[in-house]
Amino acid sequence: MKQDHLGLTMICATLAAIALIVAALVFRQTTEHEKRVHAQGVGLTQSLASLPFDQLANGPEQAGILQTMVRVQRSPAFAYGLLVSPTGAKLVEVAVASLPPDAALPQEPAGWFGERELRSPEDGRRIIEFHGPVMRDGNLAGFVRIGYFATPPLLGLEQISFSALLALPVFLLTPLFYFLMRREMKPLAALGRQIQDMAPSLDAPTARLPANPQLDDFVQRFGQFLHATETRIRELEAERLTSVTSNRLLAYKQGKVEAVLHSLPQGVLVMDESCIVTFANAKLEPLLGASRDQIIGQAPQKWCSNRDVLAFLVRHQGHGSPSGRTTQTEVAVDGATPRQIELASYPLFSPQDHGNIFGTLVVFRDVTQEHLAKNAGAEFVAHVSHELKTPLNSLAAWSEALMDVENLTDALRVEAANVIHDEVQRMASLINNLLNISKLETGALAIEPQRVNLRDLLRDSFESLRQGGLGKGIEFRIEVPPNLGLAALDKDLFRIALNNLLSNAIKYNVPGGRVTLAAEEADDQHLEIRVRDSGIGIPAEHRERIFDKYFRVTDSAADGVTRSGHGLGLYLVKQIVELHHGTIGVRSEPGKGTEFCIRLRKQTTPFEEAIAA
Amino acid sequence: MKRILIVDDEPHVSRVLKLTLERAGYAVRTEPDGQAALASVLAEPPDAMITDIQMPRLNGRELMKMLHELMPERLFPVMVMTSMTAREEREWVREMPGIEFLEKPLSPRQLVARLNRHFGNESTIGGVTSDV
Repeated sequence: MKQDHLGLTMICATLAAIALIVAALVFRQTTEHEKRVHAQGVGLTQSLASLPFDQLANGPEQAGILQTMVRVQRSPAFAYGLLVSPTGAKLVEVAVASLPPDAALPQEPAGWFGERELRSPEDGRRIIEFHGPVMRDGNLAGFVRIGYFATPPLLGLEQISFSALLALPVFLLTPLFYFLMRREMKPLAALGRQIQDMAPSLDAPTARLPANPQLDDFVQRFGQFLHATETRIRELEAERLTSVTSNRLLAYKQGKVEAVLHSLPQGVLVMDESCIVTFANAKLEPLLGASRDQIIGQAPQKWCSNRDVLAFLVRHQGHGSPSGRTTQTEVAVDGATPRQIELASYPLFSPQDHGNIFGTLVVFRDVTQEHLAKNAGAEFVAHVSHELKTPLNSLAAWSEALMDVENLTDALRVEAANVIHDEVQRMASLINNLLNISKLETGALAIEPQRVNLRDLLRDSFESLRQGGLGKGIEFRIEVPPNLGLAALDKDLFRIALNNLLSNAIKYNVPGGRVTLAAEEADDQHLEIRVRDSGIGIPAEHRERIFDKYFRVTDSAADGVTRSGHGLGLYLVKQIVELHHGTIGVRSEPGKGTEFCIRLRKQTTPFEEAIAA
Repeated sequence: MKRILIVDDEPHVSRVLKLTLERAGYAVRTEPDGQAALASVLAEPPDAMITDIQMPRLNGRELMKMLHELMPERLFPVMVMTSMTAREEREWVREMPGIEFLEKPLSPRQLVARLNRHFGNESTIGGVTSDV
């Protein structure tokens, strides 16, 4: 319907255009006709006026000149030709198309030549009349009046055809344009329908053009389309933001997980079902002796130089973990320092389908230290039991000797008693150390610091140890200034530390050697206690480890005398010193002797406190 | 008089064993470690040797290895003092011929009985006798 309206309008517009063209043509023809009439009229009037009156007015039979001249004109607009007397009486008349209207003639010479408009007495058509004077012997004898129709009688055929020729293409072009336009509009309309189909539930358009229903339709649909697009873009943008956020969150989470995996104390390796490594953390590098770049994305055969490790890893090829269960093994790895590594593999079950294994997680744990500790622990137990059994052995034998009353002499009884006493002391010392250490390690040993006169404590310990060390050919010296300050110490604990150091100094000494206990104020804040011996010394390579639990120097000393420690004494000393917020250090020279130095914080005396207050 | 060699780094132990064995009529000499014992054996083989295992310089095992190589035809018996718990020591001891165990803690009277039995002196079983 809308298209039909448009077509009708187009046709009307075409007709209007044709009418306009025709009107323009008529107007132009009229104008040109008037110009032509004017030129003809003026020319004819002047030529007739220049003729002598007699030649013009020679009777009706001689009216031929006027007639001839008028005929020469051959103008279709010619209305009439007249020769009149000055009073207006008609002398000669050549009427072609119209009767000449009556009209007065000018009397003044200035108005003799002139032009005026008249109406035809027959049909009232407009007539342009030219008039001029006709002279005889220098006197006015009459006037010639030439009349022309102001409008051409009818448009000539040629003019009609010319107009038609002009109108026809216009008329033909208009529908052409119309159909072309319709053709152009078709896809738009189709587009509009398409958009409507695409987004049928859309809101009202954003703009309306009531003048053009088709375009309006299009605009409406286009508006809907834009609206839908905008909504979609907004949705997409929101989705994009969500996805970017979730991507970042994922990346962050992944980074966090990787950081966790990298900071694990264990080496972590993830292999897919074809045994290609997909993840390896940094801790693996020192364990395997290969960099992560070498490991990731490669099969173990490419980078694994250890046969046992390789054998363990390739077992998981194809089916994750053999039988889908956790497997574990321990391998020794060579290197700068031989290591013991525990390998444990865990099948990675697919989160969707637990029956499906998509890879294997292999955890490498360095158990070298554990092994050392285990070995050290086993060694320690063996050693302690030997240490405990040795005095028992002696005790059993000597007590049996005491039972043999028949052969018991006084000398033997005294000897047996002494031996039994010594051995009991030895066992008690060992057991005390063991108990103290176990208390220290379980935290059951509470330190009870008191303000202690260090000099007294040192002298006390020194004396008791000197008694025990008598008869070994060792010289004992104590160098403690009388004005040595106070220290906050747990007396009983600290005595254990001192006794351990002093008994070591005796044990690891040589006949004719010396044990010195010295103390001094190192500075305003600190006291230093030194236990020095002139014994066998500690080899440099062991000095670092002598305070370690269970550590013993197992090498035979140069003098061949066995001095078996139980690996607890110095460990206990260090623990005790540190409980007192002190430090312990050692200097030693094999064959010359050893010096242990304990550094403690000094306590201000009550007297000094009073002064300071 | 049978000559017994006691090898032990614990002077208290070798002292009481020496006293007991001497009273049972044996000639006893003692050495504090494997190396001294080896020298002593090579210089003058005893009729029986009693040795500890954990000793400085040359321990009991090393001493037995050396003896085995140096004196493959060794005729005198060796008694090794060890405890029930030291299984790995029993292994190597079992591999060598002519070695017996002595259970720790050691009873000197039982040692005398073992030696007497070994040397065919029935009269000393269960007790300590004077010179034979």
